[in-house]
Amino acid sequence: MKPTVLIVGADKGGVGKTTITRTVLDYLASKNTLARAFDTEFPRGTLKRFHPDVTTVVDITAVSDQMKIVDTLNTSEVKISLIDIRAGLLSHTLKAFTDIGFFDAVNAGEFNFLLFHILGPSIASLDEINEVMPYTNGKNYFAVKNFVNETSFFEWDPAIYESYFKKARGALDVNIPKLNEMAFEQVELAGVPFSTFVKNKNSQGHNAKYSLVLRGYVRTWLNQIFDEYDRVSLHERLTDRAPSARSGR
Amino acid sequence: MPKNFTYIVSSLHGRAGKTLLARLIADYLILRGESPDLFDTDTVEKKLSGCFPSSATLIDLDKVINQMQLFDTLVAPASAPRVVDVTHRSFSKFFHLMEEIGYAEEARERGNEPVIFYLLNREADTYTRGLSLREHFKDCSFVLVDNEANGRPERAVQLSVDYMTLMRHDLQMKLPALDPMFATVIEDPYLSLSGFMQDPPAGMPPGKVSLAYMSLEARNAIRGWLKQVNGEIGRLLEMVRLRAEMMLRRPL
Repeated sequence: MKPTVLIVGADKGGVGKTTITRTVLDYLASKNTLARAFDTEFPRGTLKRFHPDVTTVVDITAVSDQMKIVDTLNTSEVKISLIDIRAGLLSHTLKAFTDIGFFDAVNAGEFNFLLFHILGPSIASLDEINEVMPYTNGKNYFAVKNFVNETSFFEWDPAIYESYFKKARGALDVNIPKLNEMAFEQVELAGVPFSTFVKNKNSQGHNAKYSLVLRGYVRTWLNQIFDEYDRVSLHERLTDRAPSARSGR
Repeated sequence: MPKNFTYIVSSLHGRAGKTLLARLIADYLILRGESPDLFDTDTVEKKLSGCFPSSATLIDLDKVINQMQLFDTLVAPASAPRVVDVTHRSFSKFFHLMEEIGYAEEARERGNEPVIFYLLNREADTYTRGLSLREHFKDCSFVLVDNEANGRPERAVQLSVDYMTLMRHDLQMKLPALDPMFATVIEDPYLSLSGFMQDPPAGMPPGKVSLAYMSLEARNAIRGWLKQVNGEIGRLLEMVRLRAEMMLRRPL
């Protein structure tokens, strides 16, 4: 299998990048597919708190850490690498990856590349589409709309909506529903993957005492997201297999 | 593992006799020497909590914190039975939530057996939704309740497939009608139905008088009716208990 890199990012902060990376890790685990993750919230790390076994905290602006990711793609036994890009560094990282020849290798068929561009319901967030989209040549670019609050991404104004999303032809829409705040906070407090919370386990794998109601909310939410990932054939795309026919905008 | 039971009393429409049945089950359990935990989901009328102010918890199902208070309690191991009065206003919400969070499976794993009581109305959709409810929770004991005071549905409804299918359900109880003159007497929230059945009667708060005690005729009519109802509840609860035991013994 060809090594695959999935970058999850946005230049804007607070749009739920790490949350979505966590759901992708849960999704892959549900498919028994191994993945490694890089947490660029250097040096503290945020993703690592939830998925410590598979996550490495890196300084994505440092060449030595860029090497830790890119130079190990071929040698790592785990072929899927997720990079959770911290706020403000998406464009910078994509440019740096261009400079080191990563995208040349992608175009040469050496690596498989996917981009999860997390969009928040703001003009600033939508403005990023123009900057980010060209790096994927429109292929495997996922416009991930994270419904962090009751929002519509300007769908009520077709002119504004079209002006942004028409530029993203070929992009794959992924809609992330909102999770109940109390359930989200409980998982934050528990510091475990969403799927572990649903199974009522703590970080040591022991039985926990999480609320049945909140676990139910998280399970339903996670299942909706998994359905959405299935719809865009995310697993096939990450494992370098042909996407099924139902995927698309 | 010994079974504890949660009796969920529901109906699709209002005025079906839900709160009356929830109250009757609670009083039956009290007469049997148990101290049931009661949950009243009707934040508008609050009738059940009015009858049992010290043992009933009022639950607003629109609030997540209250949903947690209800279901997290219901799923926890306990020695006392529970009775939940599901208002028709929250019928869909309650059962949707119950299904979404996987309450029944987890409750059963922890030795709690949910039992759904579904009261029939005359409206046609009562039978359609009843079938759907039974199908959704086919692992739960499902008791169809025919409240005689509600009357029979129209002939067209009785000839419908849904009516005929649902009415063939095996676990059914009949709630006999009480003379309307006395029916209003027992609506008094201060009248403890379990206290009324004790000899000598007990349970009225100091300074409160119930019409149930005022005449021999009322006393006899209400007592006779309560005996009949308690016999029917006792029969049903025993059947449910036996079923749960059989399920436990069933090879995996």
